[in-house]
Amino acid sequence: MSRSDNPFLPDFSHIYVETGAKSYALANQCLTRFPKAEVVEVPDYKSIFNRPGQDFQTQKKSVKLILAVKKPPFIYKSTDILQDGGFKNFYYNTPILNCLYNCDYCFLQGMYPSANVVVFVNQEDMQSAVEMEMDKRPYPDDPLMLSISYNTDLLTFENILPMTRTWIKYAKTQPDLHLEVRTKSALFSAIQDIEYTQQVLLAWTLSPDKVVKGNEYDTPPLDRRISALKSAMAKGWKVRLCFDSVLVYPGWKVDYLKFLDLIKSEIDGDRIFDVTVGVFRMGQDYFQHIRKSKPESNIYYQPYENKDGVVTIPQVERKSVEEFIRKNLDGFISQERIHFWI
Amino acid sequence: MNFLFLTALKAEANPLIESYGLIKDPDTHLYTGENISLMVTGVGKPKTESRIQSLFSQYSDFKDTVVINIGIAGGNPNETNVGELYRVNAIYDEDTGQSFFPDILLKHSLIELSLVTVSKGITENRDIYRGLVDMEGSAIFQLLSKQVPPHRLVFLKVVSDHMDVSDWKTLDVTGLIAGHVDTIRSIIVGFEFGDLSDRIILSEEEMDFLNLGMVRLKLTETQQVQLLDYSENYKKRSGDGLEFLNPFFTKAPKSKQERNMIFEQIRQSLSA
Ligand code: SF4
Repeated sequence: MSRSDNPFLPDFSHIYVETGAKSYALANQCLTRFPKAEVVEVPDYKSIFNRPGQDFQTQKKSVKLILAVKKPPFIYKSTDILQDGGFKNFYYNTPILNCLYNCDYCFLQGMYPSANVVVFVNQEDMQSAVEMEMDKRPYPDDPLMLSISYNTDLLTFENILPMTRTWIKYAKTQPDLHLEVRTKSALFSAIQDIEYTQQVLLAWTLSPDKVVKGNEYDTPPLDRRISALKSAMAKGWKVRLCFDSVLVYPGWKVDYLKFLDLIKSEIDGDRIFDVTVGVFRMGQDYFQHIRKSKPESNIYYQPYENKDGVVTIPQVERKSVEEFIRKNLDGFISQERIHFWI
Repeated sequence: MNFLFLTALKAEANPLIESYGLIKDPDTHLYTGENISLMVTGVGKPKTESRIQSLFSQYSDFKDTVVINIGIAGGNPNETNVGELYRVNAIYDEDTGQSFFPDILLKHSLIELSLVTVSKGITENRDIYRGLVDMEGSAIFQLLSKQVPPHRLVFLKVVSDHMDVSDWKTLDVTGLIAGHVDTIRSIIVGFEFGDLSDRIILSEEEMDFLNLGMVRLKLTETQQVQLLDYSENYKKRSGDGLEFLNPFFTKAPKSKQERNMIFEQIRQSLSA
């Protein structure tokens, strides 16, 4: 073996199948998709996912797939950290846990004990729960907005498992359901044959190239994300731009100015649904959990402020981000269509 | 990277002792070489558990150790060949019903199978056991996984029989393991390239240095945690060492007030 060879097994070299998940169509679809994978049966997905002592970042070098049956709850009310983008009935669900990308500011490292990806095979149960929740949503005149890509980047999986497609098709049968599909992927091509619907908001997280390369490992470069979202807009889809997290580091304004100039020159602001902006923030428990694992990233070793249990950059920097973004998006999109988590 | 072999029998250990030139430490009974150690655990879960408990007082370098359990096992006649080496990807304990899963992250050339750990040798109903059967695997995983992450726990089994042996003494245990020493060596080389050690920010010397400072300054528990956090932040951001803190640690403060003042000066220096 030479040093240049990658000694790690490819992602999904192993598929752990919960005994109760074996009979589901989605499980069989996954197993067929990876015929060479070692298949290991597990009594309960937690017996592998929740093992003590796992190292998230080491596991990222060879991510395994876990197929499981989700037990209730199937749908969750939005948290303060999650941006609701102005939607009153804002919920999220978890068709998949964990992500194929590895952004160093991602809270999933602190939330889950494992980097392995869990696919819940009983999507129909999640859909029934959505219907029940729609019936009792607090603002009946407004649709229920469901983020299906909260604990993952769902669109990334589309060539492996067409989950986004399944949910979009489902939403079309439920007039009171809206979906937000947040992504950093360039895989709009995988769903471009679907007729657009006003019920679905495709939300692209964009960052300057320096941040993509330095902090958003394994994600597509900025230009590919921009061209994906432009294709979506051209086909009539509602598109949201997310600048989240805006990272503050020496010289950040120079990079973000160039970045916003590129956005303004490439994208028609009038046709964007809205823009959400956030700074680095994380629940203190997740933050401490990540710090304990001694990550390589410098993000976890900066001076932060604890704002009601949320670790974030100091207020003066948060303000500076808000002013900077407002000023530089002036004329591109109206101010009331910019939502901040600051 | 360090490697710790665990075998149940001395006969299983002999080919490794010879191949790596390991020498027995008369005090600990561990066989040791440059970065390789080996312990013979004895047969069965109770013996294995007690030997591993004693190991914890003899062996402390788990931060960058790969633990490799190697030994003979019974094999399902339809799934295994006698004499073949297998890699274990799941361990089920027949007595407790618990299951354990080592992470297999690095490429290897072996066939993977599951392992059932039993308390007594199998002489009947052998067909109900899938894959491999041994008498120590679950105990090793359960105890060692408290010290070592699952990606540094490796279980290798050579099938000695199809659970149809009446006289164990007839087995050429040493010969069965000796036939796979080259493969075992290549697995070890793979781990050297994989860099799977625990990540650290502060070296052992830096931790000793800070601990000394904490004692001398009589820092409160909160201050101790903060000092470690500030030191890690400083080292990550600057890449520099912590020697410059030495003057703060030279004399003990006379009052809490003085201690807090010194601590504040340290905090400011580390956030500079
Ligand atoms: S794309 Fe989103 S979910 Fe995936 S690693 Fe990055 S921040 Fe986390």
